[in-house]
Amino acid sequence: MKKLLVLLGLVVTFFAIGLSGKQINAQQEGEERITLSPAISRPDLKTGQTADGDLTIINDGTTRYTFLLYARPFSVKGESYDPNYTEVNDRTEAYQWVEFEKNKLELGPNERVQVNYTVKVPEQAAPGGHYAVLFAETQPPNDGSSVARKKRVGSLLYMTVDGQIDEEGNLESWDIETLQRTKPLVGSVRIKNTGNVHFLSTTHVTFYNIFGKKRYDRSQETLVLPGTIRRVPIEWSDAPYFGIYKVSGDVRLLDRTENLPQKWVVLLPTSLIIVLAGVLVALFTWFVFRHHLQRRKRKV
Amino acid sequence: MLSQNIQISLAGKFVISVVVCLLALMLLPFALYAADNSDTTTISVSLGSTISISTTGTVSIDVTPVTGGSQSSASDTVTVSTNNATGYNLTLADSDADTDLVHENETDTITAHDGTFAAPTALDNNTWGYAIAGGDFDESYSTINNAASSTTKWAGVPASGDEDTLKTTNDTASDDATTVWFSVKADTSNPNGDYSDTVTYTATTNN
Repeated sequence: MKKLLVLLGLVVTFFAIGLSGKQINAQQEGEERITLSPAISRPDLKTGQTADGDLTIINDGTTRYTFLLYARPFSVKGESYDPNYTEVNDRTEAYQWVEFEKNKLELGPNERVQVNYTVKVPEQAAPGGHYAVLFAETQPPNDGSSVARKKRVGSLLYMTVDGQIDEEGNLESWDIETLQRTKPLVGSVRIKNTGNVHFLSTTHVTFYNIFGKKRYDRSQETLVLPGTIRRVPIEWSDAPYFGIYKVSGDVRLLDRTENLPQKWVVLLPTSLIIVLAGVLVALFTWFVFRHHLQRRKRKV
Repeated sequence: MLSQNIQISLAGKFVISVVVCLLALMLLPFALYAADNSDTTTISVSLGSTISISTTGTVSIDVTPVTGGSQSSASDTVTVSTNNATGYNLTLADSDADTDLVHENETDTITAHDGTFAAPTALDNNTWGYAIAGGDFDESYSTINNAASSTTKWAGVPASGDEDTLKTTNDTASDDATTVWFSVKADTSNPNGDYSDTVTYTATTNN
């Protein structure tokens, strides 16, 4: 009888484990995921040329979906470089040069597809940078959602059309507040592009403690679009609770290096200031009280 | 004399063996070095740049309206992955110019809230909006079920082409999750039924 009960228990446990596994799988079902490659490409083109390109789209989720492929203008808003996928100007009308061999496809889970496209550069295209984004966009199923969601991923297309290429730009400013209350320690450099084509910049910043020991080091590559200023944020998220640091570095752009003058930063949280003020007040009170006591003793 | 010769010979052999061993040990590094040189292979790998975006399940908000207004919310988790060293941008906008939740009769609507990403505010009756914790929104959000009043802050979903940037990162990302909350506040002036709209999440690299 005992053996029978043990056997029954084992069977129940076995089934319970099996069912819990199925529940986990059920929770994972319904993930709609779309992956796109390449995420950016930077072709050099000639006026009148027709260039070929391709995108790979991967369904690495668990549901089948239909997706659309199309091109849109690409520019940026402000120095923070918020993307703008709608403004059409001389540099972004290039999205009209792109033609996909297919515009609507369907992919099942774990399936992938490579889609070719062509870029037909007009004869009268201005020399320099032209910018577009190639989108792959899922179409939402009719699943009764109050808020249905389309998901789209973009492949940025930074094209350089030959001719009179002006690569010009400079480091506009380097800012970091001397007194900062909370981490992360933040600063920024602003890089200006005055030419007619994008360029790559590398911002390298190092934080040293007061003894000159390197505490944090970071390099960041960014592309700067023509006619814009890009603010490149500098952030040390894992900085200690408080400290005093000197910060220096350089920005490499257009085959030259511009040094960032050394600056001092003090990370002093408000809570620490309150504690220090409290200690100072306590010390002052104790000093006054002691002085008062000494005077009374002398009088006695 | 003979035995002495043999002893010398043995000693000589011993010395010779030691010298040979030492020479072998001295030459071994050269032999290894030579072997290293001859076996050198350069392996070159090119990793393509990718970006992906995903969501799971549905966003369904159930509201039981009352005269003074009743508010409910639901969340959505958007995850983005990219091997781009300078991170990504995630934006949100309506999928078209009409930002209303539209009734299945295609006539009645719940309009988009007039709060914005930069200045989110509490929902008015018969409006809907979205929120992400932090920044100018509230520090945190949780599910609201038919609340008569809520001071939580919301922004209207902007029209297509006027995207709100929800997140900008500066490093590679692996399943980096952003929780987006959607909420509706309704009184009894709108007819019952299903109201819906479509939004678009967009992810591009932050080059």
